[in-house]
Amino acid sequence: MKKTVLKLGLAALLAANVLLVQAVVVPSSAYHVQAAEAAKAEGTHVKGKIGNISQKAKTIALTPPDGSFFLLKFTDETTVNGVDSISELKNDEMITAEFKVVDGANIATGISLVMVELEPGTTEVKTEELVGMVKEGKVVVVDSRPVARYNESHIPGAVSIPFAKLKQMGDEGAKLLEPYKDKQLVFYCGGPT
Amino acid sequence: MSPKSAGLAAKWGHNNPLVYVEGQPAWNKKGNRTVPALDYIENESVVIIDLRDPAKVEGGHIPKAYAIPFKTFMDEAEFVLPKALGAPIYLYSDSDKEIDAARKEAREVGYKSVYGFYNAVESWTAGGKQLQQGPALAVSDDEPIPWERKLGVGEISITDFTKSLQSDLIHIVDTRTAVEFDTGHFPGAVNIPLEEMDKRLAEIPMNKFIVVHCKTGARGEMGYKLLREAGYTVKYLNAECECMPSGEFEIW
Repeated sequence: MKKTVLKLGLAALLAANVLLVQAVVVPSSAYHVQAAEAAKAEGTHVKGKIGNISQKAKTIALTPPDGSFFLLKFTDETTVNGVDSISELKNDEMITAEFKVVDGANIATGISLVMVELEPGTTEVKTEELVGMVKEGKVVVVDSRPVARYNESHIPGAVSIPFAKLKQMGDEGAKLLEPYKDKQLVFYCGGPT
Repeated sequence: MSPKSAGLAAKWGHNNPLVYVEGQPAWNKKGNRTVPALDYIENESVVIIDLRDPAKVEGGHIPKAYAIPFKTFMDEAEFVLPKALGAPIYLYSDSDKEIDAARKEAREVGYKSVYGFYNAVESWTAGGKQLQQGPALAVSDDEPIPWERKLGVGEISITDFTKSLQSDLIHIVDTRTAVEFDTGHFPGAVNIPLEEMDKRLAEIPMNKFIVVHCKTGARGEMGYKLLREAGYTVKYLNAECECMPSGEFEIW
């Protein structure tokens, strides 16, 4: 009953786009339970992309590979690998962290920046080489970032084929690359993530 | 993302796909240009500025562009650009030097997403798009360019946020620190710093519509995600704001 009143009140007050009333109400302790379970399952180790980092709140919002949400806190004692200090970590970078659960909060003991690993059968290209290749027009440059990033700005001549889309399509994804079968492909994104 | 894409290409029979690991940030850093997608410029909420002389602007400009001659832009950028420092701004001219200088200026006055749109007019027509003849949109220094963000997942608009301050059904959670909160906050807002939120969930009512904010949106977004995971009906304000001790506030 309370829920209905809430819905009506809001509808009257705000535009429809504000309405996001979830059908299932999870008890407020769910977050703690989840944190503890994650810790148990993964042995106090988490890997994820930085969605947001706040130096003030000493908190990192991580997106683990399964797309879930993980809140990690750090302290002055948290050690770092791959960068000089936590203040150098940026959004979208992939990190791994060792953490302990204290009062339901995930406190990082160590954070490491994940370095890029190349897949078999592929080779890295450096900026100078790529500049030449793009000038000569001999390569097909593929932007692997989400379409929104491509729209804002991309390497001139690049085509947009987001990695997420390729992955989602499974082996059907091969069709997206089929038109460039006899061309030299160059894949890029927003830097090591 | 790109190493994995290249891995898939190799698996599907493409010969030695290359990976530009350093990516677009390095590309830009070394002075190489990037371009926007024309459909995006045409259809999305972006700010386009034509820095050329009025005569050239009237001869044909990109639709929706504001005409601000280069010299005027360099003097008045901070007064005429939108209030929101996150607004995506695209600058074009027939002089690349002017684009570079104007871009630097816009960044210096605080804009975060400033892009040079090089060879804009040529690429616009080459891409099959029509130029607009006649005068472009004008600006004045007492009325900045209007611009409103398209709302992302979980975001509440500034207008709706302002309205929600007057409602008993909506519970505003300020995720800034206690010190920040004490220097001024929204009327009716409750302070739960982000770093304490997971321990203080019991203080946030389940039967109300929750709206989370901070100073810039960053901590607000984390708070939003945390509360969403915990089952709350919640939105967050993705905007910058300033609250005075008097209770007056400004959001942009």
